[in-house]
Amino acid sequence: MSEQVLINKLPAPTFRWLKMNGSLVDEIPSDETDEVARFTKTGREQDEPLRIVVDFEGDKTNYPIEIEVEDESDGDIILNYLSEGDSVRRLQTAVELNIGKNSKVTMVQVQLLPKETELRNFIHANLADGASFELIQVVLSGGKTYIECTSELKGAKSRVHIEHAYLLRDSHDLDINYVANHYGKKTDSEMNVYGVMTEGTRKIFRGTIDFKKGCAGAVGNEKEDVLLLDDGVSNQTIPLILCAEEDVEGNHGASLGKLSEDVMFYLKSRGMSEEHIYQMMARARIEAVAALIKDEETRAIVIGGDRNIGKSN
Amino acid sequence: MAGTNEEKTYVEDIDRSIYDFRYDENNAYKVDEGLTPEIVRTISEEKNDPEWMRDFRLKSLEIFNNTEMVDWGPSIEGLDMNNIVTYVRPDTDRMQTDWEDVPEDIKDTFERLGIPQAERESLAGVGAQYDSELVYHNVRKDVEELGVIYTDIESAIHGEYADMIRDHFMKLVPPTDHKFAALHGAVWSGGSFVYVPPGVKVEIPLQSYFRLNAAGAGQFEHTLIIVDEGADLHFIEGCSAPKYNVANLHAGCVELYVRENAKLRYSTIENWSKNMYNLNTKRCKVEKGGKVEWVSGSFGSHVSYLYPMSILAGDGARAEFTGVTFAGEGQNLDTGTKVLHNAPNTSSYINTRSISKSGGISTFRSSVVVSEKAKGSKSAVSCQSLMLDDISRSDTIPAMDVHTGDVDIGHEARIGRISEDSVFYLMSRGLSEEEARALIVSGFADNVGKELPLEYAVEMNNLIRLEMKGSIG
Repeated sequence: MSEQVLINKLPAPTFRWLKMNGSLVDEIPSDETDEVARFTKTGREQDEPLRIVVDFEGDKTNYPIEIEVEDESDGDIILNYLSEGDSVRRLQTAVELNIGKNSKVTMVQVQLLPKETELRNFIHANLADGASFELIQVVLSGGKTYIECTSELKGAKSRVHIEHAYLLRDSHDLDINYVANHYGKKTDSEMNVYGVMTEGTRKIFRGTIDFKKGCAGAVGNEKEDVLLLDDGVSNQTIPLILCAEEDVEGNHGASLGKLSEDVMFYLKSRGMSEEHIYQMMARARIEAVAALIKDEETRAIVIGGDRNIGKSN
Repeated sequence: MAGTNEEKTYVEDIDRSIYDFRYDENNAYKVDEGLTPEIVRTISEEKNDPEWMRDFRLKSLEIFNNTEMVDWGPSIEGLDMNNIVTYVRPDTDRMQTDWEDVPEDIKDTFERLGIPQAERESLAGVGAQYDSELVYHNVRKDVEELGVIYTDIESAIHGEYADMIRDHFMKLVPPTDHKFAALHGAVWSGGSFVYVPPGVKVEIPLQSYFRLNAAGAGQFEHTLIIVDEGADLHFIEGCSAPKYNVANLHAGCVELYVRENAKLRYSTIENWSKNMYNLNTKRCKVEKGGKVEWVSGSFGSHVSYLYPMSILAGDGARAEFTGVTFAGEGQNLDTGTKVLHNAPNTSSYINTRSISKSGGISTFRSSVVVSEKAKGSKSAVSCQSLMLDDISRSDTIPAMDVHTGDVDIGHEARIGRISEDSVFYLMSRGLSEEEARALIVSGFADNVGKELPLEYAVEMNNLIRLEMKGSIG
């Protein structure tokens, strides 16, 4: 029997009865056959993004990946999770990303997985002075999905910006943990999460902005907007702002629920049915994030996917 | 603005002598330090408890011994129950209804705190607790004639309200709730019982004031309030203690019942001394159409765990929480609120401010839980935090747990420092930097100030001004 580990831990725990302090899962053991995939990017020219492929059809369960982006370099990375198979799979990727001085990395991840799949998607980013990390994640289907992104903003004026959209259907269980650790002066973090949930789905979003002592001038913003299409959902949100430094600015906003009556009234008065309104609004949330994806091939996966998003009843 | 930090000047630390006085514990009766079944039985005998209460205390002690300590909040390592005296009876024959009959030192204590004056000028009734016992309790005749009951809870247990007490005592906050609820169940002493009959509006507030005089002691008062259908009450509680070098403990319990279409405002200005461990539990159940308003100012204590909770159990029930927490040197104040939406069309509004200074740690911690029964419910949470220097800490940990789609939940949080532009503006109008910062902080805490009766708002602003002396240095 495998050991259990606590993943997606809250940096500052809260009331135990809420059961939001972390997720207890079976450990996916690593072994010597888990070769670390290493990539290095130098320079600002980029003809093609770095495409990392994860094989869901094989037996491999652990994908450790190291990406080094040297000083004064740019890099686009695409790491999609795509599979149409129906075998039960559990798989983990762990990306260690080091971004050098004044370098910029954009990583795109689109997930379209069958509901028998458990995916653990871990990212740990270290940012030097002036470094910038943009993460675009779109989750469209899956069984159990754990996502964690921890950004260490060690360098002055380093920056992390996350845009995430999810559409939860078919009992999909999504567990997100974003942490931005501000160490350097004038660092910047932004996390925007847009979601749509239907009957029988479950989601927890943990977002932490942690201003460490010494990060004067730092700014952190997090926002979550969740559209609940049905009853029978379990939606948990816990946005943390932790602060040990005076000269900072931290903001958080969250909005959860159905569409406002004003919006419904306006659109119905234009002749739209309620079903159509919800489809349109749900699609808008997903496509707003998809529009940020520069790679046409990846963008097409999102835009062209199954779009029947309507309410369950 | 660059250079502002270097220009800060030193100001003397605050003068708390208004609260920081004490009297010798002459002839006070105390149980031994620590917590044993024998001590619990002794307290029960002192109280002449009915059998059910004695058994309840002993069962609570068992629960306390078998419950683990919390591990998610401020450290309470400095609290050793073996060194806490759980019962101190002051040297007074019995509870009085006339201040002139209260022993001189105790009466003087409350005079210095302004309680008799407040009673004369602006209150419908007062309960004053000194260490473990209520020493004074009185309610205005015209309020009594409305059928309002405001009495000490220990008399109520033995008298005509015995069944009502038994039906409600520690049902909202059972001993199994957490370790210090169990402790309270075992050693509780003193506190008030209030009942407001249907349709009665009590125009002027009732107040309880808790004063802990003995060093190394605990205070475990129990407040039970029932506001019956269509009734309306404002209840105020205040507290203070002199500062000692040893730990004191406050593990009180407040249970509030707001029946259909009734309204209760519960206001607290907490100003315990900075050696106090304040592990208080407050909970309110609101029935259909009812409303509870919490107004909470937390300024004292060394460590606080304080999260007044509202259970919205009836259609259209509402809760509002307005709070300010000021954590200064040596303080770790973990405060906030909890709301459970468990019926349709319920609503909650939470508006809090927290301030950290001189190494103080302030944590806002909340939970909004919306069950599948709470269709059509709304909740809005706003928490703002102000850091006054770079040696303090401020954390915001709000949680939302929603189990139905038919809701409207919004949350916002902000953290930052005093705007230097605002300070500059006020200084250009002739204020000193210290006065400017104090004014800004008072304005920041205005969400609570404007909800309190004038006298208490003045006290709160005085507390802020006292805390702000020494804020530049």
